[in-house]
Amino acid sequence: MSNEISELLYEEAAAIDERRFEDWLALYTEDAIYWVPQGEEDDPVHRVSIAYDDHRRLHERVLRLTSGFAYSQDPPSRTCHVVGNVRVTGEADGAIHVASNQIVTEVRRNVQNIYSGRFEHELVAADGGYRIRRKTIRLMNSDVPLGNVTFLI
Amino acid sequence: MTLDLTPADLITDDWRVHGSIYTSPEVFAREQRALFHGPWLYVAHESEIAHPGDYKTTFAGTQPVIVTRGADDGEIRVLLNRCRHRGASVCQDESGNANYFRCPYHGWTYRNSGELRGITYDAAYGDIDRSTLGLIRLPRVDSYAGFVFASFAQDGPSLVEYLGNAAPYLEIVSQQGPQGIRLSAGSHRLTYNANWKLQIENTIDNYHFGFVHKSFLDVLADRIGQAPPIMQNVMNNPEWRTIDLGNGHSVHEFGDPRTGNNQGQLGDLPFNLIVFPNLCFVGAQLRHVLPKKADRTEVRLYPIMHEGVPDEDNAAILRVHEGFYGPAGMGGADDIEVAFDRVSDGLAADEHDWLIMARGMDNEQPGENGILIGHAADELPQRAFYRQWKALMA
Repeated sequence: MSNEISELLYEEAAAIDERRFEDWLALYTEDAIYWVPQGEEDDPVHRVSIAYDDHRRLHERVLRLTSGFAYSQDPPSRTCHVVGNVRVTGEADGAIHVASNQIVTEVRRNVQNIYSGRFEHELVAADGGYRIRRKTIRLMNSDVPLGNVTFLI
Repeated sequence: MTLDLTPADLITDDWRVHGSIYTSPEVFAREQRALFHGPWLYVAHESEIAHPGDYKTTFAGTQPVIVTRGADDGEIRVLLNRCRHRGASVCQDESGNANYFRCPYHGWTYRNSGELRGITYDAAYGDIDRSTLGLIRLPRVDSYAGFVFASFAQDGPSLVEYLGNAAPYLEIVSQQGPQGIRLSAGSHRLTYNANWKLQIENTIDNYHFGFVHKSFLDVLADRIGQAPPIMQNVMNNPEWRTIDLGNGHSVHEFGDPRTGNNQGQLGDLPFNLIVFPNLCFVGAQLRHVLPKKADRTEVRLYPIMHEGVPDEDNAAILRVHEGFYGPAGMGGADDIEVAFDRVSDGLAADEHDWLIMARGMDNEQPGENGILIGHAADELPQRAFYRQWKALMA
């Protein structure tokens, strides 16, 4: 696996943790999908997801997070991503499929939450590097009652 | 804290509401008897248990129940999810299909009608009467427009009488798709550390929308290229109105109850509806509010799928729903933050423990069938809820 691939995942995590949301959004292609399924679901057409965002909605999330009026992010979540077990799992439709395990520590309003899960990225070549065409976040606790996951995961 | 006010004192005639209704474990315990142990309680939509043997688990108030469709007779029953022997829950899954429920503790087995079928090594029980040892069954179960309700009370008003003026609105919900509706998309499950009634009040509160959801309105403006007309409609459109339907039920109409539109890309239900005590319809969802403790609530949001439309139409309903609602939604999480968490923080300042729910109280206009009609931003739906609350708690 090329360094470039893991570096992209690290850069994405850093952009979220450092609140460089415009940099984060720039890592995604215009036709990108950011998907947080609920439970073991694998069918966003028939089953509700925690998030199934196209690029337009990702732009809206960034707009909201930086607006000063997103009360569920006031104060904002502090996050720390740890990216591990990165491996290329295949190649299809012109994209490299990358799997990783990630742990996201989130602190907000005096409470620390730990989220973790299996992350899947589909990366396509662009601008001499890679961009994200699809990100799937399979949270370990996606099927338990959740509070506030309005930060970027 | 020890409550030195009776339930009748907790809401005054000029609509001061005492903070302890949200914080007191005694009030919570009394609610479970008065509000959740007599009135009809929503438990399921028929589409969730469409076939013989289907079941779902849920809660009637705080009581865990199994809603089953008889494997033999197709009858819908609501059973306490608790083995009659030593109390273990007998069904663990949210939904499924089973002819029997077998308690894992000592192997007692029940038919999905609740009837006790088998006691393992039963000789040691002598002449025990199995016919009285089925899973406890709620005495009354009935459906209206596909919505299944149950009651712990042997007697009382029929479901239709209980629903009263809310019944036509349930029919409209049931006709959202050209061939009806189904709850087939699963549910968002939310939890927060505050009282369940805050979620009910917030579901039908238009006054808050421009404040709590300013960031969402800004997002909408960016999406459609102009300021969305929600708050103008709330404040100035006479066809947007709140209605006390009686029996604790209330509705907020966005114009015609069949064709109204919330103008907010929040989902296509033509109104927000509260069916007392804990069933709501808002956006494109059925919302089931589950009290856990005075300061703990779980909420399940079931997107309403349309029967008789292409898959992509239902997928579009899901995407709109997820945009605002659910744990990552751009609206619902702000309600949790402000209307539940921050209210909960504030209520700790109980030195002066009164809230005000009087908005529009002098402008309630009587309509047909005993309804009261108010301005869209009035606190009339909240008063509708608490009128019934006070009557039952007294």
